[in-house]
Amino acid sequence: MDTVLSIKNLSKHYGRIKAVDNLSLEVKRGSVYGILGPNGSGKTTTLGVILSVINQTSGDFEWFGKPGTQNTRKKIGAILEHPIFYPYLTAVQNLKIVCDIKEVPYSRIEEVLDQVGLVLRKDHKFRTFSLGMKQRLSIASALLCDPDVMILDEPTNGLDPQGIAEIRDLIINIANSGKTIIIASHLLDEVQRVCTHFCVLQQGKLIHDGLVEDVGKGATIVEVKADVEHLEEVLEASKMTSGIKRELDKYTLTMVEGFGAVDVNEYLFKQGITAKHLILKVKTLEKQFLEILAEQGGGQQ
Amino acid sequence: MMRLLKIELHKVRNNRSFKVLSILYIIALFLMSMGVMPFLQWLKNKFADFNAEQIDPTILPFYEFPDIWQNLTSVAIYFKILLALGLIYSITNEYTYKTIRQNVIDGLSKQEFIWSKILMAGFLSAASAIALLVMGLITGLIYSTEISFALVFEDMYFLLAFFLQLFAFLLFTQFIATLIRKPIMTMGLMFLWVVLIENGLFIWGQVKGEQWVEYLLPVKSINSLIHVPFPKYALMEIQDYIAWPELALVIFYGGLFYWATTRLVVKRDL
Repeated sequence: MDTVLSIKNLSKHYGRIKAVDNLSLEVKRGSVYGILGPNGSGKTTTLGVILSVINQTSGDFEWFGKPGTQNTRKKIGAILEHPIFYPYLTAVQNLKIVCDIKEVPYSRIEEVLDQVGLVLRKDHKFRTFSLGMKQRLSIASALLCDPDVMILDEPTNGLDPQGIAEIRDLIINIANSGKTIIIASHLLDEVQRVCTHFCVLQQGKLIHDGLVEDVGKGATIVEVKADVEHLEEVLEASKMTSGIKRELDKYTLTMVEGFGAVDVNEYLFKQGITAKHLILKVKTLEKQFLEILAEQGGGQQ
Repeated sequence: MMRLLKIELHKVRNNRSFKVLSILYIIALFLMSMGVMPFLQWLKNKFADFNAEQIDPTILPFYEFPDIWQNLTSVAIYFKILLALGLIYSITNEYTYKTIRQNVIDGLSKQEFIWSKILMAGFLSAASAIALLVMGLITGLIYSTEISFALVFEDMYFLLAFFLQLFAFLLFTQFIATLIRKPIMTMGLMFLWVVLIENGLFIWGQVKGEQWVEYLLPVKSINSLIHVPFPKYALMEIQDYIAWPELALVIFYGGLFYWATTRLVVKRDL
């Protein structure tokens, strides 16, 4: 796999604030790369730098192994933050401007509008579009040049559930066609469903990167509920858990290596307790993300 | 180059404020190049109504070759404000809508973005000069008492000077609009600068006898490239040619504002 984007020791300072702090990462061809991080962690700033709209304080980045120029940007389809178009122009007129900038024939316009399902509204002014239609138009615009790489920043921000599902399907379709996609998001669920790789930023620093499929690995988690008062003590006495967390009447157990849900069930039954709720939890990206952030917080203090 | 001009034309073609301002500009140019004689004729008729036939304003040779070129250009340059307003909107809109950012993301370099606006300004300036040429030829041929090839072309270089004047002023406008990024505040600052600061400094220079001050005033310098010819109809001495140092100064200011705009856009985060 060859490298599409590599960022080396990138920093962007606004006065004393370090929006991006010595960031290095690589995106391989064909991957769907999620950049996670709380609001204000430097996701958009990083994307702004690699797209040459923000001047970095120090560090370098390379597209396809070469320093980025306007000609590399012509082959990248990117949307930062909100969909941006001329409000007084129609969808087609707006896309014509993008075609001229990217030096792509106008014949592509009809194809991409069809791909995102906006053909019926093509001669309406951008101003009159709903948020979902605006998002779809910006994806159409990013697809115009049949890009090698797509960059999407919070692509489902502010959409209703149906709109989110539509955009997600669109992204999965595009990913299946073999394109490299970079998505910045704070919606973990979204990243987990769509991405193959992910990294986590916090205060401009890279604090984790890895494969999404590795997220489920690690300690086993079991949830238990039972109508007994001394459940917590009983569970502790079992010596099968390394940690117990209580949420109302639900206990979440982090299991010691080698023990699983079966063992908990068997043990409780022997103690004369019948569990009314027993679930083996698969670790979600959300959980992993919060853990990473918590570790980082602990490390800093 | 054609690509950049095409992009710019796509942007302004359906913009209402740009359309209104351009139409006003065309009407103003047309009235000025065609309407002075009919107006004087009308005045003459009015005077006749008051039994004052001895006053005949139509003897003013406004459209006489070769004076017509200096007359037309020195008046037409006042309408530049309409083109400047159009340019202010076209630049500040890019910042308000953040479309400049998307343009750069899509693959336009910041330099190309500036050039696309400058090309548009150059295109409008050239179109204005050509419009004056056509209308000047028509009215000149109608009203001139003496027509010869030499007379028609003698002072036609004023049209080139007019083009340069307009272009340099639009470069100044581009710089202010890029600096401020808000339409109303840009207009406010330009008004303040041209009307209060430049005039204030100019008058101060006159009073103190410090003539060099006026060369430091960009808009004044640009405006005075073509001298107002009308005092000569009151038999006063005027400069009826383009002076090289004044021309050089206009080119210098045009270049300066281009350089300053480029620095602003390249250094700034979008």
